Amino acid sequence: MTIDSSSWLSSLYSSNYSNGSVQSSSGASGMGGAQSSSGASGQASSPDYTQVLQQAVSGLMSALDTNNDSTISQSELAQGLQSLSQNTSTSYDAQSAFKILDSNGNGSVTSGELLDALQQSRGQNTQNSNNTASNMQDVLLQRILSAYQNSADSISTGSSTLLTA
Amino acid sequence: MMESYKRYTFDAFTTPCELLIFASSPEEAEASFNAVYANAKRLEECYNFYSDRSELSRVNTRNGAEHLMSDELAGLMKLALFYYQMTERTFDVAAAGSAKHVGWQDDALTPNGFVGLSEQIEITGNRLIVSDDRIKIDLGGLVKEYAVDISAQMLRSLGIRSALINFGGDVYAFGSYYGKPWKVGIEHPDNPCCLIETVELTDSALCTSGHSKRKIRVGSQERSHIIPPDAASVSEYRQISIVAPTALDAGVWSTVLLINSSLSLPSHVSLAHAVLA
Repeated sequence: MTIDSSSWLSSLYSSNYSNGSVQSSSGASGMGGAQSSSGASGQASSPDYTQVLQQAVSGLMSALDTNNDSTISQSELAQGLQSLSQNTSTSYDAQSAFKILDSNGNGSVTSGELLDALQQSRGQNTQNSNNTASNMQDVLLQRILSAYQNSADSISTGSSTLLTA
Repeated sequence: MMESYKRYTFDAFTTPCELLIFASSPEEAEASFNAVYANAKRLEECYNFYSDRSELSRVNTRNGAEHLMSDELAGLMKLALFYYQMTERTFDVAAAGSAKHVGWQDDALTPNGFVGLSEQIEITGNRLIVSDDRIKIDLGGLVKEYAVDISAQMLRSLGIRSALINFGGDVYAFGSYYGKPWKVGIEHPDNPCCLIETVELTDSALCTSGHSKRKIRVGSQERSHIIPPDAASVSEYRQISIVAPTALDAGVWSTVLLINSSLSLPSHVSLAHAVLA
C-alpha cells in the first residue's frame, strides 16, 4: 500500500514522537471501577500545537539526523522511512517525500523546513476535519429527529421541519 | 489482533476533556485523537460567546436584522430552536445570550424578562433573522454536547470500534470495554471523589448538569452557568444525570430539568440520577 505525502509525515511524526504534553495512559483510570465519570473533574493537560510541533521537529531531527549535521539528507530520510515501512507495512516514496520537505531545493532539509511541512500537514488535516464534521451534522440531526419520531411522544410538524428544512 | 486502549486528556470548552480509545495501533489512536482534538478546538473557537473572533460573535454583533450563517451554525441554530419547542420554551439560546449581554434585570428586554426570546428568531436556509439587535445568542448549552456527538461519528468513520468521549461530564460511549459495557460514574456534587451512581453505556450518552461546578458572571452577579429564561424559576434538583441516544439529547434534557423540574422527559430519554436541591 502507498499513502499520500501528508499521511507519511503524520506517521513519521507519530512513530518518532512520544512526548508527554498530551497525557496518554493504558488501563482503567481507577475511579471506583468506573472508566470515567460524569461531572467535570480531574487534571488535564492542554496541548499547545505550536509547542507540540516544535517538539515534534526536535524529535524527528534527533531520530533522522544520524550524522548530527543539523540537517536531514535524502539518504537519512530514506532510512527513516524504511524503518517506518517495516513497522507499518506501508511503503513510502523517499524521493517524493524529500522533494516535498526540501522546499528550497538545496539537497538538505532543515528543522525550519520540517516545521513548515508539519504545519502544512496539520492545516490539511484540520480542513479535512472541518469538512467531515460539517457533513456529519446532517447525520446527527436526522438521528435526533428519528429518535423523537420513533418515540411515543408527539412531535409537531413545525418542530420536525426545523431539523429537515 | 488485540486492540490496545489509550487515554488522552485536554482542555476545551473551559472544562477538562478525556478520550478513551481502543485502537489497533498507537498510530491509529494518535491520529484519531488528533482529529477529535482539532475538531473540538475548532468548535470551541467558532462558537465561543466571548471571543471576538468567533462566528457566533459575528452573529451577535450583526449589522441589521439579517445575518448569513455557515452551514454548520445554521444547523446548530435549527437544533436550538427544535429543542426550544420540545422543552416548552425552556431551552432558550436567546435568553442565555441576552442575559449575559444585558445583565440580569427582569424587564431588561420584555415585560416577561427573558421568557420566549427565541420566538423572535427566524431561520430561512442559512439566513438568521432577529429584529431586535439586543437579542444575543449563546450556544454554550449545545456546543459541547454537539462536539461529543460529532467526535463519536468521527471516531467511527476513522475505524474505531470502541471509545468513550467525556467532555466535562458530557459522555458518549460506543462499542465496549474489553467486551463489557462502558461504566461511567456520576460524581456527587459536593464531593467529586464520591461516585453516587454508576451507569453502563453502549452506544449512548450520559450527561450531568448541575449548578455547583461552573459559575458565570451576569452583570454584577455570579450565577450558575445554567441561565433560566425566567429568573424566578425554581427547580427541585441541583444535579441531574440523563441517559439518551445522543449527548445533545442528554445534555439539553439534563439542563432544562434543572430549570423546570415539571417537564416530562421524552420516552427515548431516561433519568439516570437526580440530586434534590
